[in-house]
Amino acid sequence: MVIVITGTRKGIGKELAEYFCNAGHIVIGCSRGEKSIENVNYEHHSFDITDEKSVKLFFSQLRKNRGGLDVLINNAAVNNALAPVALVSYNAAASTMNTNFMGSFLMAREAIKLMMKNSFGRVINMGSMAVKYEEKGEAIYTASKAAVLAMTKILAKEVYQYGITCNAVSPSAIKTDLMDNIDPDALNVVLKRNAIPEMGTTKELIDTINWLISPQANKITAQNIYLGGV
Amino acid sequence: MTKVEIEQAVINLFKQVITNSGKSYDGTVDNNTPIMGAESPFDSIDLVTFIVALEQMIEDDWSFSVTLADDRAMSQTISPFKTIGTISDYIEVLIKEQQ
Repeated sequence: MVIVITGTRKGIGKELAEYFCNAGHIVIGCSRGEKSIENVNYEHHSFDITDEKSVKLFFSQLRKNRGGLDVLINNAAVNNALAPVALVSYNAAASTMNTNFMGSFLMAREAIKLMMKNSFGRVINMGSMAVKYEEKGEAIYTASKAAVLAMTKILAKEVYQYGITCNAVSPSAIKTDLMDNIDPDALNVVLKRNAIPEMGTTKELIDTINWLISPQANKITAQNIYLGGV
Repeated sequence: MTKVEIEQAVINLFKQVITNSGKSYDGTVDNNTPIMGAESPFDSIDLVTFIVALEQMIEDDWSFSVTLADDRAMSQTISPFKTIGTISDYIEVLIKEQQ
């Protein structure tokens, strides 16, 4: 399969890209930064997913070079607005919404155009358990992920007849840069609400995505799968 | 790229989408043929297929990268997505801007 993953320079995106490369898939990764993966099955593009022209150019090249894509994993996310709403700057909120929602929207919009032509596709968006827990200080990030989940469900209805499914996976807390600014005590309190009260791993995320992109999941769409027993 | 060439390409694609969707259209296909609304043979899926195919045709055949459903299209008094003529006009505008 040809799998496009956003935010592959580090964290979950990098681990996903390395896994799918090693599993024999062609992975086309992107990030604002430079390539950080060396693998014969990996190709990197440096651009900003919130820039429409760059996204259009990326998919234009993808269509010419690869004939399209099978899977889009909208992984890139930021949390620049980790504070009570009263203390969040406009730019911090806008940049969080832009990357997490608008970036996912732009990537999905252009991806489905190519998938439609091939009558097959899988769009996987990253949700968050934050949507379920509505924690103080996480309003903007949570709102951005709630928007992604809403888009996932509606987009799924729009594209199913083209052979495309669209789902979200909402992992439990996984150790990444995004977690660095989160109070560990507060995180433990949140995790204890889960059926699985410990940090999640990229492995369980990979297992879930592997199933969603498999033929067995042809009729699984418009779903948000929470990991960690949320 | 002349206006006539654009219109002919749009008409050809319109016919192709109708055929591929297993439908038939008895009327004459010309600039007045509606691509949206109750009088159009297109349902919403056909319209999306048509617009996406147009964008890809414009890129493949004429080497211009355009987004037909852009902000300006959505704010026009007369929607570009009304007839074959209006979408052809809008394509001409977008192409001229890139020339």
